[in-house]
Amino acid sequence: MSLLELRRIARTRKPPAIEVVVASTFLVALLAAALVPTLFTQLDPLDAQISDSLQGPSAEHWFGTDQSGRDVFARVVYGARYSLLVGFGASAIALVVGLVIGLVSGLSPKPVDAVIGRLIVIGMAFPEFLLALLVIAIIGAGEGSLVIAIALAAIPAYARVARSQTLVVRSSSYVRSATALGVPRFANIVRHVIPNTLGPLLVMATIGVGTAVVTAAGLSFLGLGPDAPTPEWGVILSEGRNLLDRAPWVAVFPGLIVTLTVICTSVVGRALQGRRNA
Amino acid sequence: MLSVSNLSVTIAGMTVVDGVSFDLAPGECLAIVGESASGKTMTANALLGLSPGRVRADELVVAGHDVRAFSDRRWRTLRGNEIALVSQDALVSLDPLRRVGREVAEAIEVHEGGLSRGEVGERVIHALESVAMPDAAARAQQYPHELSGGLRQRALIASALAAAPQVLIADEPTTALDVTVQAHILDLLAELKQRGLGVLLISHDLAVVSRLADRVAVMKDGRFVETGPTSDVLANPQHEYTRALLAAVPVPKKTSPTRGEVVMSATGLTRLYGSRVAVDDVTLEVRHGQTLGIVGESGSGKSTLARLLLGLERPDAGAVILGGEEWSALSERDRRSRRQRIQLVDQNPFGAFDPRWSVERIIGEAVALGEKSTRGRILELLHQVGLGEQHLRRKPRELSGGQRQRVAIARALARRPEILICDEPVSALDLTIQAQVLALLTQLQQDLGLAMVFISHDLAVIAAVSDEILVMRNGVVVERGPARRVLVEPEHPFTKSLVNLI
Amino acid sequence: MTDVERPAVGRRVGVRLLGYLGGMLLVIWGAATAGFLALKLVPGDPVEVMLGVNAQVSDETKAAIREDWGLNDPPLVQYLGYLGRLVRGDLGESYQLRQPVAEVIGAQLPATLALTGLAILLALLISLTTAFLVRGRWATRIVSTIELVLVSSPTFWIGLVLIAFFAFRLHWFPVTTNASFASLVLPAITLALPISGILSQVLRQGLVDAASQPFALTARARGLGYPALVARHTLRHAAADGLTLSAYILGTLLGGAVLVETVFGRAGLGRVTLRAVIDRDLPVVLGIIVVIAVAFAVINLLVDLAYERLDPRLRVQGKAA
Repeated sequence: MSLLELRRIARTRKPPAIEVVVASTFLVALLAAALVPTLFTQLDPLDAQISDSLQGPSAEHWFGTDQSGRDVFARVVYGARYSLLVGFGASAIALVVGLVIGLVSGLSPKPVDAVIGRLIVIGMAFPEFLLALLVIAIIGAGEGSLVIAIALAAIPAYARVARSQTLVVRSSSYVRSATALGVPRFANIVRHVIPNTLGPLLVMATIGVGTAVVTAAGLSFLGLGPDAPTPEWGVILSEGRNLLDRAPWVAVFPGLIVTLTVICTSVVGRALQGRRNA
Repeated sequence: MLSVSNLSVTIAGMTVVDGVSFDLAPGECLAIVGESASGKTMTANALLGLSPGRVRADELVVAGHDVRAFSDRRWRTLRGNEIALVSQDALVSLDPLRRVGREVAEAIEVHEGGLSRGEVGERVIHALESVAMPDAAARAQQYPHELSGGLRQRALIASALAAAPQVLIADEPTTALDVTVQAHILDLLAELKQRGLGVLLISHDLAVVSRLADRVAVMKDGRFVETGPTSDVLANPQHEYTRALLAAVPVPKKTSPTRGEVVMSATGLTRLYGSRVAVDDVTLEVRHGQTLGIVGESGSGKSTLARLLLGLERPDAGAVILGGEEWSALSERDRRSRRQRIQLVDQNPFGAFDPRWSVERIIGEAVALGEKSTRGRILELLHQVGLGEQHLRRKPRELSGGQRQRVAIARALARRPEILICDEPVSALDLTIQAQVLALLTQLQQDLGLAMVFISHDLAVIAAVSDEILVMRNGVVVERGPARRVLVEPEHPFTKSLVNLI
Repeated sequence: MTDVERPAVGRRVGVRLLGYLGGMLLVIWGAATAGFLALKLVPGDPVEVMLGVNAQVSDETKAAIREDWGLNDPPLVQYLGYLGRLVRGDLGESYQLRQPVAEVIGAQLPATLALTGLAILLALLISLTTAFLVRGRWATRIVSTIELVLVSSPTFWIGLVLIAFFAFRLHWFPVTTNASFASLVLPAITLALPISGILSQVLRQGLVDAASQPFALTARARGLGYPALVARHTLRHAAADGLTLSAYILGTLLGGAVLVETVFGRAGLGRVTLRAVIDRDLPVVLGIIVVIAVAFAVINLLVDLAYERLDPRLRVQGKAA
């Protein structure tokens, strides 16, 4: 037995690491904030009290207040709804569409697969953020556009994984052996491909939710998402930009939450992948 | 030069080397023989100061230095300079991104810093010539992947000896090579030994050991179970493990003179890949209850031949006839209904199974193709190959190599075939496990009257199972005949060279 | 090499180079066509879209604009005309700015190039240093966490934080943009940090992976210490791993440029792009797509050549016996 095998045996069947637990807790909390905001704050995110404006973080206003006197923490909590909606929506759409495209391409005759493969490669060449930006140039700005644009930009990545998995299974030893056994080829491939492909795709989608949230925040920051005074995270950050000298907390804290969201989805995603490989 | 007394290595709480003692003198070769996980490589690592675990010994002297308390910095003065390492497979043991000459020069540059580039270059050529590398100057400019396997291994040996060490550790130095090339490398090592090099040979291959080693130590579970002069140990094994090892060496099968009827035949089979001829005009017959052994080196076309016989590929010329009917000319759909009659046991059972399926499901799928799949039938198949109910739920990665191969055989038998094609089924197995699987196949053949086509690069294995032997080289059949005749009186020079190595 | 082989090698190199150039042109053409098609798909009349709903423009003027821009011609004619102009380097004229797109882009290109150039240099510096120096379990863990944070943070948020701290609090750097080098520093750092996050991770992993390969064992058995092992062996292997990131890095640079220029109020291609997207100024958007495609094609070519230099197994050569 090699040293590698010794180590691997020692590592299986361990409980999840502490960071995975923490990350999952944060994500669950985020989900709760999106569904039931009142769990986290009693304040109204749109409630403007000019007298309270530009106050730093305090016991009453955990993240401080913005230029209109609105509680920043409440705005972040209510903003979770928009961000998670975009994140999940875009990832789900991209996963399904990408899976179908990849499967079809991998099962098609070689010339067809070659063409679709090329298209996927070209699609992947462009950075997601830019692709989304260009899609918005075409369909116009707005909240719905964000979901569509981000989904379209993410599809090539999923399609590439689905296609390569399909091709791997298609030419694998076990499909070859099964063919020698007498199992019908096509149905056999699909039976092996889908379970083997869904795994990696779901891992991608978990991390993809985080990426989508950041992309959405970036696009909103540039003014391409929902309009003010919607408490969407990117909108809050763009407001914060003008207050950097007077009230930096308006920009710092919401951005921190966005960062934490991405970190936690990454950690959970990688833990899932580790479980699958073990 | 090497004095080792009571050496122990522990990793993660496990003792992988337990109280090992030996000596090595100049001009002598000591072989450490064992199967995988016996601790032989760990011993070698300890002698280089590269052990990943804790090393303790009553005495550990390398080239006159007591290395027990050595820091890494002091070890670096010894490595390459006094003691060197040659590993298996130069393709990955040499840096693929660097030229051969640079690799050979490295030990010189590390230990003799003052030399000019020209002087280093001369030393490199000298080192390559001392391992009989043809056209040394040109080879030095090439990359490892551009050389053939044998030349690569010579380059690796040259790179190890460039700084003139006293001791060479050769860890499975010929395992990745074709059989004929192995002989040349062993001759080279023998010659180096004659010139005064002390060689510590680590191998699982008793044939290699018998050719090169003066003394041998048999290792199991971290301990030496038997030591002594090679001829003594191999002729008169004292320890039962040594006896088991020797017994596992394949012996030629006792063939019967009667010949069964022909169940499959192929005539004039040819297969091309682009301009490369993989199989060239091959004709053969497979008989009921008997085994046709096909032996050849890598690239001889034997695996392609297997695929043609199975109908997984179409021949460019020639035909395969199965049970008196057309086989290779059929469409896949027509073939599928007849696939039941001929089944495959592959070299790589790991790749042959979906890693996420259980044993029960793997065998069940095969059974279900021909009849109703019942637990009873699956268990029956498992018992036939020497496994039991406790294996039903396991996944492939939870099984040992031998067990996986048994599952592969069970799956192949599920459809009650007449013919079994075995493509290198035991190449990846330890010697003792290999013997068990070969015995199983022979037994099954007797019980079920199977016709077998057995493909391997190892003539000893072929000899153990075959009634008839086909020798292939570069896609062409160079010799054929009853096993006994081919082994005792080979006609073709290539066959002769293979037979000489057993 | 014999004389007979030499011209063959030269021809082979020439053919391969032609193949590469052809591939580049194909990508650029593909992107340009895709962009053209996409823009044609925009619902509504481009003139109305551009002028806005409330524009007080007479119908005749609109018709005249349409005629001017050849929007009444059949699509195939428009496409061919577009391609023809593209080959001559004419990217059309901006709807909004009434300037040739090529001029608009050309004016802003240097600023963005300076920004991205400095960013990539910084990223390389940071990544190589951490890949070299960081060894051992604890150091690796800490650095990995930092890398994770950097990669996960929105680029523009990093910029905002840096401004708030270094510009407003500490007054180390100017707040508003001017042509000085000092104003380039914070934006470049902002752009460089996420890239160095992933680049150092890949490089470090590459070094570790290479060090566990058999050839590394052979090298150490020759007496090499760790620094020599890296310099002579593993660095080259890790560099090959790093090269695989080049497309990702270029994408992050381009996307990040848009955000960073907005955050720091710098003039550059990023702002041009944003304006064009908001104003639905389609010729400019199309021009940007073409420029990006060219950038990718060039980088891909350079990376492929670099791969071949690094890994001799990829070179198409005559094999010796």
